[in-house]
Amino acid sequence: MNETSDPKRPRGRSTLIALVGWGCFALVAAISCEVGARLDDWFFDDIPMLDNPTYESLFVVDDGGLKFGRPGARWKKVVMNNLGMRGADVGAGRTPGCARWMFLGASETFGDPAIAAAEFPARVRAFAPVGRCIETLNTAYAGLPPRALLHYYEAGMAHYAPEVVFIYPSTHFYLASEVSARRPEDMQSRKPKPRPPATGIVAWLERLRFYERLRDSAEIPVPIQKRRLTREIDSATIGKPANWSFSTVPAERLDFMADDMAELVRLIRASGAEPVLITHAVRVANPPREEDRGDLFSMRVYVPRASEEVIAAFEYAAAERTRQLARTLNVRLIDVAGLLNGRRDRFVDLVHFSPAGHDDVAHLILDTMDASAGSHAVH
Amino acid sequence: MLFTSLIFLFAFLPVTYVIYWCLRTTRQRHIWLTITGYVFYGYWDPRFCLLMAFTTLVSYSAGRGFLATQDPVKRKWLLVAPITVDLLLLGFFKYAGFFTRSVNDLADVLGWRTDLPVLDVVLPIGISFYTFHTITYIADAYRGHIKPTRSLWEFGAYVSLFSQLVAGPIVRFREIEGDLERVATADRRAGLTLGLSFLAFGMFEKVIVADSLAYYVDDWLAMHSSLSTLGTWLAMLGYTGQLYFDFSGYSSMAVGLGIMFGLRIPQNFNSPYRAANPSEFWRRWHISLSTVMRDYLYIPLGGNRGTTAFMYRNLMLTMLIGGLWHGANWTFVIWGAYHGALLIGYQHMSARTGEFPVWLSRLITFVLVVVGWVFFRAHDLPMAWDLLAKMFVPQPGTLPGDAMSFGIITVIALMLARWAPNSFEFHKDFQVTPLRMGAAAAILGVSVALIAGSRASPFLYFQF
Repeated sequence: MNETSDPKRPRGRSTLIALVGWGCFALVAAISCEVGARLDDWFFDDIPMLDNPTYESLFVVDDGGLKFGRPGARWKKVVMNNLGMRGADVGAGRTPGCARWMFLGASETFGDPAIAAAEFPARVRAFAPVGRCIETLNTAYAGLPPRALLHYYEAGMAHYAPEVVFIYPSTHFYLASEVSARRPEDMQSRKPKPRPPATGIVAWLERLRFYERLRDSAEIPVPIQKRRLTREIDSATIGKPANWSFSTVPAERLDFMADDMAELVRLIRASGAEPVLITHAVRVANPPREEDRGDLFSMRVYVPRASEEVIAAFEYAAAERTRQLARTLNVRLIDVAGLLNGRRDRFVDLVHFSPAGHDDVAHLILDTMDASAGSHAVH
Repeated sequence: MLFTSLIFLFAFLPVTYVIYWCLRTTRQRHIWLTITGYVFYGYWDPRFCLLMAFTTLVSYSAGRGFLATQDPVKRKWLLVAPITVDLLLLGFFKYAGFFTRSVNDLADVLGWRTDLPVLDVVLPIGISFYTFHTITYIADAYRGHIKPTRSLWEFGAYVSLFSQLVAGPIVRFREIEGDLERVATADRRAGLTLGLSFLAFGMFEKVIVADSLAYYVDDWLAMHSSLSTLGTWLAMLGYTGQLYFDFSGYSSMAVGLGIMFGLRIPQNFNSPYRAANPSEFWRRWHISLSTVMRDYLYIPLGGNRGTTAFMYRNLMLTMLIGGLWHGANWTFVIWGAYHGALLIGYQHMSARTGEFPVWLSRLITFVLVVVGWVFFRAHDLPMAWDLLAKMFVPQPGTLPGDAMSFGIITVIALMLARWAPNSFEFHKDFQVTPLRMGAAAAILGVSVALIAGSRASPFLYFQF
């Protein structure tokens, strides 16, 4: 590799030797990239060196197509505990002397995969007063629709004998293009968009952890992202009749949500636990401010029938409906929307909390549960 | 832009390198280095470039003034005016908030009412470093140690040289002037392999060692109030290793990048944890700052001349200002005073330290340095006192579950700091063998994987 040119060596040969040398350099560097990625994953995240986990490795799927967390599974920074949930290991049965609080929800509740113990269920446990033991079970995962919570709880989570179950539904699911009266497929996890299976070198590359890291760390410039979103929204809306789009908050969607929540409350009560409703919070104001437009525009990819104004209005209406429902069903309510709606500093995007936001939610939960203790029977 | 970012490694550096070596003349290369320096710097915030351009123009004009006049009065003005401008800028951007907050706090204690508005000015990254570059240039020109350059581009390239722009080393013009004038005839091939080897060495220090320690240190110190005595010592030892490898790694990378462009940047760290006394520590730690403080502050203050008390005063003043240079916080002032006291104590007792075995002197010096890092790391004085109390008054508390892996990494890191060759010792023969290049390739590969995995943290010295 020492490139000091030898005057006795023919020029062509020197160039060839240099090329071979740099080729070896590149090869060693490339192999080291993959080895480094695997070593890093193994040392810091306990992912076996020779495994190639994917997002789907985090789950087991039951006969009804519903996903449940796989105990001890790991993928990137995501770690599942011994019960296949987010958070520290816990026993399957309730620890004597401890309250067991369970959290049902989706990605908002799961929290940032890369930041451990910062999501609000974990913070509830951390902020509990000294001497008070609260076991928190964070059963949420990304893409778990509110309707699927019914089967998810009844078929799986109820077995862990929670004392209190907090319901934090992703309300925007009810603005999806096709939502109607409850159907069996609504009880399944939301499926990722189908993608043609990779072949050839792409398939090989996708098995490389280093390639995965590069892809994850690539920052797509904002104009390109925006163009991509616009294209997706256009392709979803083009050719649709004028009345296909929501011009106002669709009342029947709020009814679906209320029905599902009422059914979930009934299931939880039937299992012997106390249900607690949490209002869903968003970063945007209603009506939206100028700085809210980006978040709402990004959300339109998932709910193309709704305009930015309708998305914001629906979220506020859903929070109000949840409050009404709590009163009607005599359920305790944690009014996160009342506390955090429109607070841009408490979110990282439209619906996901920042660490400070998670802390606020945790404090609100503890304060509300303390303040209303005694007014509701705790099973 | 960080050296340890994909955009730097895969876009900025290759483009800068290829175009630089395609250019033929000295002037073209100076212009290109200046442009790339501003792109590198402006990547954080383009507004900062205006500030650097202003400082550059002021100092360059002063240099031209020195060439034009030998009148002592005018030369004095040419010295004082630009240095005042530099210090005012530094004072405003770095210390204005600290000063007003301190005055308000003091007034509160005395029961007065001041309510000075506290300015929360955004600190331009690296201002402490490039301000020192321009100040040393002007002072050297005034003293006649250098002949100021007539080329604005050469001076622009010196101030904005991306390899040492934001976190040093503080390279004096006289140290790099020769290389800047010979850039057109530099040996690209030899520089590439040697530079890559230095760069890989720095990556190893920063990305593999320092960032692995940071993974634990940041978490542990965030919950310092619940740590036990053992846990606090382990956290501080980890930070001791992290700080050294972070900054030394940056300096090694800067040296390597300089060599790749035909510029020799001086050594900034010489295994400081091998020091057997505080004075030796400062000859090995952040050498470029120590020598600047010595040559432009300590000696002009009177240095060793005069009485012992006078020398102690100079030492303490130099270390206090050195501490404050690191950050606008009382913790840094106390850290500077602490090291001033160590140096004075060492001077006072130096006749007796000869009685100690070397290993004991090294151990004592190391422990004293670790204690000093408490002030360097603490966000505020209450945190510093809490850490010190935990370190010296045995207290129960928690030892987090990852203590074993943290302990192992810390021990390995400190052993490397103590016994392994530093980047200049490793490259002392300036020869690059195939084995070394293989090792460099492997380290660069692993480092890139870690960077892509987002475990690389910003350089600690950027904040200064």
